Amino acid sequence: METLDHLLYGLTIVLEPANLGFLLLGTVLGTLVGVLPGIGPQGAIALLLPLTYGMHPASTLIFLAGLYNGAMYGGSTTSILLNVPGESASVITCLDGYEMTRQGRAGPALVIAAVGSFIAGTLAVGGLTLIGPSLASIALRFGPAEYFSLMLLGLATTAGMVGRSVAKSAAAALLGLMFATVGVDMSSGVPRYSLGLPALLDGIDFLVLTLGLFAVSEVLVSLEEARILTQGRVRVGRLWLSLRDFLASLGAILRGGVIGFVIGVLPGAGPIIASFLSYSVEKQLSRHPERFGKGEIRGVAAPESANNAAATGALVPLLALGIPGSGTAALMLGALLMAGVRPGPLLFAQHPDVAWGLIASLYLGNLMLLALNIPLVGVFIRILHVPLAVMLPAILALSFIGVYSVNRSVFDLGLMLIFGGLGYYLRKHDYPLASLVLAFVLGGLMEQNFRRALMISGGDYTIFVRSGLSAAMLAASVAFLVLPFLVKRLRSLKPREEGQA
Amino acid sequence: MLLALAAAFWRGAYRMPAYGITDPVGPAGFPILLAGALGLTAGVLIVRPRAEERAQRGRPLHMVIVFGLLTGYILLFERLGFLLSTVLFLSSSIALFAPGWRWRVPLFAIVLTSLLQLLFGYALGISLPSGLLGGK
Repeated sequence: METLDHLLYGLTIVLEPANLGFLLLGTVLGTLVGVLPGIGPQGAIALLLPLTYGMHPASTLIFLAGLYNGAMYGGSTTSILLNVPGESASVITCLDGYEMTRQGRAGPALVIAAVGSFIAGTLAVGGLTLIGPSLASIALRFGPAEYFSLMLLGLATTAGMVGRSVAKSAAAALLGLMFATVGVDMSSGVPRYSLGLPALLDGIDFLVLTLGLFAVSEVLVSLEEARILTQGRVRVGRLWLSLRDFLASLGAILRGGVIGFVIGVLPGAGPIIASFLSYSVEKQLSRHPERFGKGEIRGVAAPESANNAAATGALVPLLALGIPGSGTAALMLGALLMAGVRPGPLLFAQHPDVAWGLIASLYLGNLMLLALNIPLVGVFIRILHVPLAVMLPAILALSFIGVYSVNRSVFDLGLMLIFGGLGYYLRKHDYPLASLVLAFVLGGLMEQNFRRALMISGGDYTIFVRSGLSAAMLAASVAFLVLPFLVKRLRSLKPREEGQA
Repeated sequence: MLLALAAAFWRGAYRMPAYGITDPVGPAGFPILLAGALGLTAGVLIVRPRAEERAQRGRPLHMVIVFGLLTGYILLFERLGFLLSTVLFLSSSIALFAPGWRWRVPLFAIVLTSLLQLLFGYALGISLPSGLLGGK
């Protein structure tokens, strides 16, 4: 009952006209930028972050919730219409989604993606409502050692699940942690890795890093690979879903929602794994598995529901523990920190308006997404026809504005370009950028807790294994890093098949 | 390529402990830990058979040119101001990607720049450098 009261309280905040406007704006912008070719949800969120300057924290959050939902959804539209996944979590949607488009059934595919996302997303928000606060109250008992181990676990699971190679993910995460150490050390005042440059004393700004890594490097990669979209007219067909199609997909949507949420809550690459898993579950449950890959509507409904639910699930550890469950959630964390809100167990107690406002806006955001997407599909398709020759330079100019707005510093622009180059290199060599950003966001906290724990124990490293919880989490981290390696060894005889991550 | 990267990692890892000696133990402890872990990871990456490189075809030259254009953009951003430098950057890069456009190139560049200035400069109140045009 208490939960319901809180939720109603959150709703009253979101229903303030200004906040409702922010939610709408976020949803529309997020979807628009998410649809843009050559830029995924992470790039989309990074590009739009500067818009939140000067907003009230609760409004920022609501805006971000819309942005997050919209950007996650936007990726599926391009998968279905053009066979270009906007993000890795939509890769599997291409299989049946694009096939449906080729059969002239793009309309039902888009509608089922929207409906599935809505139902599964709403389910997942329900889960978040139930689990979040209780997880937060458990986490209140955590000491620095537990926190450190938990963050390590988050990074380790991400490393173990994203990307093709654990070692590469780990390397990316370590790079992120190192970037996080740049600047004056908080507790001793010693400048670290600032290379003698005063501009680096404040550390590397989150926006500079993400815009460089995501926006600039994405543009560079799409330029080099000459990924010019075939600009043929896309036939959408009627934007309509027959009751039969809906009923056929309902089971897939519900299963996808549950799978997505559960996997999303676990730290790591939630949405990607969730979409792949739910797809294969449906294929196995189906009486006609041979139809999958040939335009089966359940093959669109399941992964789209799952990745949406997982995106919401990833917010559970973010809100309750302050530890994002995915790369995109890491961007949300960065945005919250910029707005002066530190998510974590205390959030529910200290800033109930923020926490519950966010949850309530996720409910409403899902509804808006459904209401918006179906009528606006025509607009999205037109956006896909904007030539890349205009789009890519415009994205670059936008990132310039975004970075410049942080400190009014040309140095930051240069730094962004360097990160763009780094991101380009890492992408080319399959280093997952999500791990890097996640680590960068967590880095400061991780070090703080690490040092605090050692201060408590007087330099005795056994503090990390003395509490059962911390020890278990450390053991799990090691397992996540080592197991895939062993599994690969065992399987080394047959070539691994897997999608792009 | 992978090997070169791993080597760079090693060098970074090698450099950092030296850094730790000149520093009080507090701030250096965590980086040293990171350096060790990175060294280990680099080792794994070296030992492991390298994965097949993705076949790439495309226009690497374009990428390099854009990188150059971006550098120029950065250098001119404050000197010329947002409006002039952005128009320059956009027209040169659009001209590069869409060679057949001719007169439409500056048009697009000017329209886009004005839109950005209107949205961010005025509507959102983000201060952008005015540069040569000055006096805002």
